[in-house]
Amino acid sequence: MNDRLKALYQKVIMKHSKQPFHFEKKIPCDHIVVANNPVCGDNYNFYIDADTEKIGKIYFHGFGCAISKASNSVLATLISNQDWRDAYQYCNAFLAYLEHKDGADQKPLDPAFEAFSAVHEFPSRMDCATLGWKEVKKFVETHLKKEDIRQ
Amino acid sequence: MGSHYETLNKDILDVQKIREEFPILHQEVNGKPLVYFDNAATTQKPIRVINALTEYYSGYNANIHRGIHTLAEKATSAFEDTRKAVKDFINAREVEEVIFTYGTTDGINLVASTFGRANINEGDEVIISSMEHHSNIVPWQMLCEEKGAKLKVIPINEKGEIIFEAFEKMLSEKTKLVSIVHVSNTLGTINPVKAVVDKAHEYGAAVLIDGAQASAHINIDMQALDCDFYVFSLHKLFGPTGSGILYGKRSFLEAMPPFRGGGEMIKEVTFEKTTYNDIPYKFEAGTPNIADVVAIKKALEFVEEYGKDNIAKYEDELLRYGNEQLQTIPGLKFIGTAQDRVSVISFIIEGIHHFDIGMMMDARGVALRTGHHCTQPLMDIYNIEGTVRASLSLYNTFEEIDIMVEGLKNIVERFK
Repeated sequence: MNDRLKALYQKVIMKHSKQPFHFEKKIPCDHIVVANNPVCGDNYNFYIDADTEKIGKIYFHGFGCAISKASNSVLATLISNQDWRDAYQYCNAFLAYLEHKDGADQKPLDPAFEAFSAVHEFPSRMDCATLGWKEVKKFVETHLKKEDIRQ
Repeated sequence: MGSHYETLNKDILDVQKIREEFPILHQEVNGKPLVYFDNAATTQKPIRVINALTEYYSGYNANIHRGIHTLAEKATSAFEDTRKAVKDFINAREVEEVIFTYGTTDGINLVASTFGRANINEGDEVIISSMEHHSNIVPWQMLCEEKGAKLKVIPINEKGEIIFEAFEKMLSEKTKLVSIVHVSNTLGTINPVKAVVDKAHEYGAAVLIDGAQASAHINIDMQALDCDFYVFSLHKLFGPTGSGILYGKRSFLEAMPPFRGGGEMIKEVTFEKTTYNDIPYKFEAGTPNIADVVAIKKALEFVEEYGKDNIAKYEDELLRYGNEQLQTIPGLKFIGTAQDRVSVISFIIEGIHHFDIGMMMDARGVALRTGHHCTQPLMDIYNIEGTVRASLSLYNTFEEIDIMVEGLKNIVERFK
């Protein structure tokens, strides 16, 4: 394996993908968020408990590549038990970090992001790393909009 | 180990000599010698095809058919020479039955839009198989939706072979068209198309064969097959991209309305009325893909020089060896194990996503295709998201199979 690929499939990613955290079909739950990319065949469900104040523990289950599984594993650990606005901030920060948006790659919000720094070099794998984050972000966003309207 | 087989099979095909004709194969990818196993997506081009393109553009580039100057005549005769070569290659009865298209998809859409619109009506039925490429599903879905017709799908067994008895039961006087793939791009299955044609004809149904994957591997003989339409792409047959063939029986082509309107497909135009040209020109509106069509002749010459029978024999050996070696990989499962197959091997490895395999193999210089291969309904039948596909051609070697197998074994270790 060459150095570029080694950077992509580094130890942290392989560890998360082989033994992902919170990898379980947790039913019943309050919400199920689907993250599906028919082009590559990544297909995950996120099982989320939440109240008006905060998100509870997030579980996920499904099928996908090592990058997507590792990324969802990190998501499930970081977003669990966050309040809604912090969860939204995490999602935004992870996506910005991968997309090198406004120099976000220089200062990751969480050290766990760093394992995915090489993904930027492989445009075909960006979807793998970001699919779950984008769908969970949409879910959080919808909740926050409803909250804003309510207030 | 593979080199031993190389020597054994040298009397079938001199692969090293063939490889010399393909400049692209002599390069390193990611620091490793390129192993190109994505031939079902597109084959590489021999130097004679590449030279033909250069010679056309540097020697006699001109628009065809209507020019009376020397270059136009030269270009026209080269273009029409290819039509004759294709006619011989597929053993069509007449040269007018050969229509140039932009590829297989274009050919199927042509038939759906012309024959389909004119002959398929409300309550009629179109039959396809479970292993069709999206390009032989979607045009018929669109037509059936437009006309209120019904699309029926021939089921397959576990091995990836059509269940012929089920097909027989589907046929009725309502069946207006059967459109089936000759060779599956995902499974490698060779379908019993002659039997399909004969059976469909008993019910008066027309038959279209999608030959995209067949043309580079097996003999295709229009008169023996007796199908009404046959479509294929030349870029999968060592020719340039953007070029394809629609074969149609004269009686069908003459009865069909034109596809696209424009130059070349007309005899006479007034603001009140247009008289359409004769076949094949009726279906070739606009300036065609002249350079690529000219070069196709060289691609066909290349195949004929080595002989389809020899190519098939050699590829069968590659397939046999590939299957044997891949079987030694823990957790590997073949998708598609039909009795009658070309050298396409689809597989999954338990616990490892096809994308990861494809990318890690690319780092070793091995070009494999991963995903659903434009056959999503087939993936649903097998209840999988995608496969890894190694599609082998006459310039591939037994040693290259060893490289692939060694690479896969390493990946399995890494994911343990």
